[in-house]
Amino acid sequence: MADIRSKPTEAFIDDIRSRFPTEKEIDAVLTRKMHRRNGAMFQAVSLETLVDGARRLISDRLGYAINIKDARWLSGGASKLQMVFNLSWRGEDGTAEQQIVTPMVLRMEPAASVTESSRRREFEVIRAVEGAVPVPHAYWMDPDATFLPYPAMVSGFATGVAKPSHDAGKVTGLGQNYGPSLRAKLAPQFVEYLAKIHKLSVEDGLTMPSFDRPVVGSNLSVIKQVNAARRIWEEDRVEDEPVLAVVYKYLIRHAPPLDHVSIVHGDYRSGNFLFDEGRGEITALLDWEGAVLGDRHQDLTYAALPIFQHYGEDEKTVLCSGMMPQSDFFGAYEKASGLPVDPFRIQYYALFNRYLVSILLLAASARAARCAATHQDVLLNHVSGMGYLALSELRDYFKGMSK
Amino acid sequence: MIQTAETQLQVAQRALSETVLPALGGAEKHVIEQLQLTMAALAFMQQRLPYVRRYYRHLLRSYLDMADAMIDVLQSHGQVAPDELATLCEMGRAALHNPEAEDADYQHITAALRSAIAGLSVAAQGTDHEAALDAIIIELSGPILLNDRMWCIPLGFELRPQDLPIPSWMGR
Repeated sequence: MADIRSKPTEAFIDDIRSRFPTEKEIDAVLTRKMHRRNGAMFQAVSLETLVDGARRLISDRLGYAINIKDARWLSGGASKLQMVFNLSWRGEDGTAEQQIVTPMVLRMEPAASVTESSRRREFEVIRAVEGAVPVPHAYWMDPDATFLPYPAMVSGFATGVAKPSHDAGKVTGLGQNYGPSLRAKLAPQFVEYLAKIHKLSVEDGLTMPSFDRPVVGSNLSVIKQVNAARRIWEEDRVEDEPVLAVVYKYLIRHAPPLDHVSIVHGDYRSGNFLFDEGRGEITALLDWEGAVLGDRHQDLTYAALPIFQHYGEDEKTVLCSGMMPQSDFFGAYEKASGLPVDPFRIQYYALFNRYLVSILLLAASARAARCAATHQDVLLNHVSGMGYLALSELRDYFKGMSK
Repeated sequence: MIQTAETQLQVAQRALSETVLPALGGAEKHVIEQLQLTMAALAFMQQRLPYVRRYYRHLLRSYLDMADAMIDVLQSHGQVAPDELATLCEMGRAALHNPEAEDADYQHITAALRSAIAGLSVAAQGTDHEAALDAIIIELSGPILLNDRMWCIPLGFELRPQDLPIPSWMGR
C-alpha cells in the first residue's frame, strides 16, 4: 500500500493545514517540509558546497569579499548539519584596517529533521536573548536557501564542551551525568539563565517578528502549539497511535490561558549547553530552534522530563536534566525569577511535553530516517526507539492525572 | 543452508568492532558515532530477530483485545461498531489461526486496527460513550507499551532494564 505521507498530494497537505491551524511561520516550515518529499532525494552535501554557499552568503550580506579557511565538520546534535570555519574579514561594518580572523559555525538543516524548524526564528530569538544569557552571536541567515542547499544561519563559535569527559558517550546528551562536582557548579547557572530568559520583555512588538504574539489571558497560542505537534504527527507518523488521539483531545480542551508571555527556549535541558569543564561555567546555551513565545512552565517541565533524568549517586534521587530533584528545581526557579510555578500549568505542560516528545521521536525522527532525508539517518532511527519509552511515560502520566 | 541471518550479523559486527572501529582513530567524531550506531543497529537485529514473529502475533492479539473491548462499550451504549473495525477483527483472528500467515500480515492488520481505534476515539468526541472508549485505550495501552519498551531494550535507553518483566513473547 502506498504511503501518502512519503509522497503527499496537495489535497493531503491542505487538509492537514486546515484542520490544525498553527503559527504562520511554523505553518510555512511544515508545508515546505511536505513539499520537499515530492522533490529530489536528499543528497549528501560536501564541505566544499557549504564553504562556497557560506562565502557567497556572507559576502552578499557584508558587501565585500571575504575568505573562509579551515572548514571542517562539527559533530553534535541530532538535527542540523554543522560546519566550523575561520572567517577572514574586515568586521561587520567593513572598516577594520586589516583582516581579522573569527571562528564561526554554519548550521544548515537537512531535507528532513527531528525538529523541522525555522532558521529565521532561531536567528531572531538568539538576537533577542543575547546579552542576557550566553549565546553564540547570530551573524547572518539564509532562511530561504538562497545561497546554500537548504536554509541555514551563521553564528559565532562558542567554546566549551557539551558532555563531561567522564561521561562523553551519551547520544545528544540524553541522561547526561555531570557528576557531583560539576553538577554543583552548573545547576545554579542552569536555573538562573532559564529565569533570565523567561523574564525578558518582548512587548515592544519589534523583536522576534516571525513569532505570533500571544495574549495574556488567552489560550489561543497554547492551542496553536498543540496543533503544531498534532500536525507533525499527521504529516510524519509511520503508524497511528490511539493514546495520542486521546491526549490531543485533553490538551485542546484544557489549554490554560497565559498569565505571562515569556520567551520559551523549547529544548532547555542537559546536553543543550556548552560549558567550561575546568571552571564549571556555562559558556553558551544552544539549540534555540524550537523557541516560542509562550508559557514558562513549558521549559520547566521539559527540563524535568524523564528521558533527560538520571539517578544521583545514592541510586534513589532522580535528577532533572542531571541537575537537581524536580522540587528543588522549581523552587530555585521561583526564587531566581520571581515568577510563580503554578501546579496546574506544571501538570498541563508536563503532559504537553510528553506528547510533543513522543511525536518528535515516533513520527518526525522515524519518518526522516525512513525517507533517507538526513545526513545521519542511523542516529535518527536510533533515537526513534526512545519514542516508546516517551509514549509509555505519556500514557502513565495521563492515567495518573485522571485518577 | 549455512548462510543464516544470525551468522551474517555476527561476522559483520565483529568486523566493524574489532577491525574497522580501531582503524578510525583519527576520524571525525560524527564518523565514529555513526559507526557505533550502525553496530548498535546490527546488535538490535541480532537480539530481536529470533522473536519477530512471536512479537508481532502478541501485538496483534493485544489490539484485538482493545478493539473487542471498544465494541462492547459501543454496544452497551446502543451504538453499532463501524464495519471496518469488525472486519479488521475478523481478519486479525483469521491471521492468527493461519499457520501460513506472513509477519507482514500481522503488521498490516495491527496498523489498520490502531488507526481504526484512534479514529473511533476522535469520532466519539462529545458523545456519552467517549469517556468509556478513551478509558479503554489508556488502560489497555499500558501493557502494550511496556512490551514495546522491552522490545527496544537493546537500544539502551531504559534507566533500569533489569526492572522490566520478561515479556511473554521472549520467555515462553
